[in-house]
Amino acid sequence: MEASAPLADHIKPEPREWQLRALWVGARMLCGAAAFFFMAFLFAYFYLRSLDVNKSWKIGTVNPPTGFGVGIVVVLVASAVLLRMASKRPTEALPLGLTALALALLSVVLQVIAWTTLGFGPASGGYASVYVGWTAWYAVFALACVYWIETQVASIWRMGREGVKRPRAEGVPADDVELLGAGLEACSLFWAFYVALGVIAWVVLYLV
Amino acid sequence: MSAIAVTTEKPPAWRRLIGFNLLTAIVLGIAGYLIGYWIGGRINTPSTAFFSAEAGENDISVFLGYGFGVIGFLIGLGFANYPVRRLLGYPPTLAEHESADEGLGRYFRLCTDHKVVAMQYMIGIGFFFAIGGLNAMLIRTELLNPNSHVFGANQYLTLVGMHGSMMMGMMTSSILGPFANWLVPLMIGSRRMAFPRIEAFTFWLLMAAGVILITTIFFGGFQTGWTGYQPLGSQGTAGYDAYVGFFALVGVSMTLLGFNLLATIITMRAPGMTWTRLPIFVWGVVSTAILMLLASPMLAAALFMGAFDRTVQTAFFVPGNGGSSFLWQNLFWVFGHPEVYIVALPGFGIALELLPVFCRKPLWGYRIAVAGMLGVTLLSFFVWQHHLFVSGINADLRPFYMLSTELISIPTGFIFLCAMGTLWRGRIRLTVPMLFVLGWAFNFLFGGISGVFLSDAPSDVTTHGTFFSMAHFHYTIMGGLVFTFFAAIYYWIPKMTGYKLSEVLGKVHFWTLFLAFNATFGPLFALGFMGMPRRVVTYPTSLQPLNDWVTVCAYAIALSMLVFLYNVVASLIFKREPEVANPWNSKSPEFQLPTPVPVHDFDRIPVFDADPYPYGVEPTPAPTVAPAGGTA
Amino acid sequence: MNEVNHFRRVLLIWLVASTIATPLVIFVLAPIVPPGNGTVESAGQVTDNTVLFGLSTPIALAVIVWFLYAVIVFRERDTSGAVLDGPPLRGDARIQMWWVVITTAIVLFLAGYGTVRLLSDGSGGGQGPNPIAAPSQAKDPPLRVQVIAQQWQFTYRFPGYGGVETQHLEIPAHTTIELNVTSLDVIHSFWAYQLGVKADANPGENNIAYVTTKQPLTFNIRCAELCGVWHGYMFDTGRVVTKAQFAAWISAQRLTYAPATKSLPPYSNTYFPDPQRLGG
Repeated sequence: MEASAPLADHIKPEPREWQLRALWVGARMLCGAAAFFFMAFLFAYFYLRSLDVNKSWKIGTVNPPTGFGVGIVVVLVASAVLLRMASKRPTEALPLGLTALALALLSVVLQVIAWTTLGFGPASGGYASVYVGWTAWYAVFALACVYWIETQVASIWRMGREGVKRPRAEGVPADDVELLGAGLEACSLFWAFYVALGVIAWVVLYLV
Repeated sequence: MSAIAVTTEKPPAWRRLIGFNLLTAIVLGIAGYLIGYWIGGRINTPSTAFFSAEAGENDISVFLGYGFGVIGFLIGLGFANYPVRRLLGYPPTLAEHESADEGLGRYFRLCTDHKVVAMQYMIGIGFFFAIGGLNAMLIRTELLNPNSHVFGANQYLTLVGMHGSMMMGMMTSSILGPFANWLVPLMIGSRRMAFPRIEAFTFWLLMAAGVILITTIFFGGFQTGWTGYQPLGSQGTAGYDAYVGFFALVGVSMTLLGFNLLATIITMRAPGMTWTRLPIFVWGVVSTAILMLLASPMLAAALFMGAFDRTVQTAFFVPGNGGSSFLWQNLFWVFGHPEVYIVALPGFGIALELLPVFCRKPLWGYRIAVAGMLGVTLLSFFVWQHHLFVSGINADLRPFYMLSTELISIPTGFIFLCAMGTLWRGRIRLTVPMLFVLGWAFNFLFGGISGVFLSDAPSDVTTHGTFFSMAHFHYTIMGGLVFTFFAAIYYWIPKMTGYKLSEVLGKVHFWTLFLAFNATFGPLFALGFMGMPRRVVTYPTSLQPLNDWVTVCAYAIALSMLVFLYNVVASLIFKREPEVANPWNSKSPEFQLPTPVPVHDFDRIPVFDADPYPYGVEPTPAPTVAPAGGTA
Repeated sequence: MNEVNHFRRVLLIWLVASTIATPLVIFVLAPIVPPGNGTVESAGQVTDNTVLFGLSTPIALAVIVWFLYAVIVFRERDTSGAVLDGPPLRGDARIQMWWVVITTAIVLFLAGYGTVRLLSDGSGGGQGPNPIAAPSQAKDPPLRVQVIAQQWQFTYRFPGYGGVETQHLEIPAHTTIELNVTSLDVIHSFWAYQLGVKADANPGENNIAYVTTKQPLTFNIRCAELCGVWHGYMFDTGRVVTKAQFAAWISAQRLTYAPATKSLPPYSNTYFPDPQRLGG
């Protein structure tokens, strides 16, 4: 199924730093895109609150679930810290990574439970709308991050189990160990940034 | 020549159809849609619908249907294979199905060869461009007579919305998709893009998006036009969900396309290809990609809010419940304005890239051209409220946005300065690509000047929301981007396919398009000044002669496109007259490679040591790119 | 021909063309510059547009003359022979500097002029609930008229006249009118062409635009923001009439609509009708 194969002899491979640098640059650019995405919700929050159209910023009693909020933020921050540590400490990467993965998944589960026990519905005004929309999409992309973290953890596990088997194949400039290190660094950086966006969301939605 | 070992025996044709390809994708896409729709039917709770037009419609079903359908489509193409392997921890790889042995089959599946993806984009975007163009012809047909109507009111508005959405969704990628994907690696000396699978993904996602937009007709169409204004969008039929689905996918595709191009250009430049040696086309790509990366997510967010309003009854845009129509307008236009520069900047890049070749002179003012492009990119984030001068949004800000919008014409002017400087004392050859570049210059000049009228808030009071602003953006987008799109096609198709396009037919295409285009859209400025608002089915009878003239000229535009289509089919499919490797005597890297360009592009990663436009230097320096085949 | 002569020729052609074309454009267009001189605001827009036309003509000509001259004079005559290159001119810092200076000056002038124009009387545009530019109020407060947009008709309420809601708009001449534009459902836009007024109607928001009328005239009202299937049919004709005629008209309207006025909601800047309405 895999269609790549060693390069023919007269074809020289690409520089090895390319793929490593691409991962480094890519993670940072994704941070930019994510920031702009959630900026729209940040803007929506303050805008609708200042306009208070039809005095319907909050219809009835609308209080966010503060306990869940704190819980989710704590779990997220712990996950980000652990994953970043995994990136810096190759020897303990697997246990740290696994824990980070579990915590990331837990944060999404907690958010889902929080939704089911909300004291208000999405139609309860501007605040409720922003709360539901913002947390929902945050959770969706958090799941995407969970996938990414899983691939890194699984790669660490498989490399630990099978060792470095493949020589540099066509189309893969860097070798697998370097690539894994770069991938983990990129993933942990993005996840840390994403969690920071989550902390900002928590501050705005729960504290302000 | 192939980088991949040749397989010995090929299975029979019917057997080769089974696998991860377009056919499987379509089947799984339809299956996914049905599954999603069914799940949505189970979920639908009696909704406290804000507008009773929604009665009987289940938006959750439609959205879930689209979502599962797209996932099924992507799985069918094979996009899930690599993620599953990665989930299991296998190391990353960069290539899939790049072997030339697979022949035409590569174009109907997930292929990571950037040249294949570029051709896929070309055909795919061409197809949807034709549909958008057909919609335009139908719109103009409706406007022949203010009193007798060809279409129902809802049908007409859906046509208007489909035309605008199709064009803005598809043509934003019309240069970056086909041309940047093909050229950027070659121009910077790399063999591939930084993330080849993502490259293929952006293409197929765009195709799925286009199909979703067309399905709007099965759900009652949408009545908002491409700007999707709320709360009208939430009020209308479920066809609006198709609009949301379409643009959300387009937004993701655009974000990733820009992401990939930027990562490639930043990290994969060959030795010697410094930022100051980058071809101006690549700078155009950089400036566009920055906007694609950062602006598209904001559109996606706004669309998701709209989707929530329609499904779970949030109130982002419903004033009665705490939402605001201003919120949509701000969020849409904070994306929408960078979006139109996404459409304009690639045109600048193409025009300035081609002028040196056909004037036989270096690009005049390379650094100021780059400054112009980056200046446009930066400023485009600060002008969006000029779409909202009379909307009732904070009036204090209008002088600021007037200033920022006027200011953006300064970096735009740099592009013209460089074009004018390059032409001066050149040895100009009026080939078909050059004609289209000159057409671009003329059209964009009037597009830009009419933009100054619109940016002037007092003048805008009369022209906002009229055919004047329609004429303005058609001059900049169609007169600009579409003309450079054709310039690029006539210029690079001989290299990409290896065959000649008829020059005579090319010139017929250009002149009919140029004259018909100006005859169609010039009078629209007058119609706007005379009081005709946008998106109307009727108008005062006194405006009918002008409208009829415009419609007839629009048909002439369609005819010119048929000439182009005939040229493409006759030259590339039937005649197939081989073209030399460098028909334009260009000194650009891609033309130093043989035709067709081999799968792996370069035998050895090149080293660049000269200015990108070494024209007029005596003696002409030998090109520094080592051609594939092992020489130099 | 050497460099200087080419440039001088282009300059000369441009000067001649501009001197002929600019006055031509200004004077030929003068009687038809939109939106006409019917009100103070629209006359302001006419002046503004005239300035813009006058400035764009020489600018457009400069680019066109340059391009045409270059394409004609510097065209390669012998396209069949060897491909010869032109001189390797890469740029000129002085020319670039002048270009930046001149274009910046033009742009700043336009922005400044537009701002002055805009802030002097609002130019007839909608300014939201807290307008910052109003026409100088001579003696009286402006006549307040509310424009209510809904799918697919404009109606008008006069708070100073018992809150009566009328189907058509008549306003007195030589008066400053304060239009309060709002919507009951989706975004519309109140565009009174000859008055030089355009203000979006947003649901739940009040958008104020000013107009100072002059002589009596008839004006076309059109909806300028897509608002659903019958958007194209959302138009009307309004009239500016003498003060006496206006007084007579509004009294007659109050009489005719007296029973209806009783059942209307009280006058307010915004309305939030029951959301269960058909539309789209």
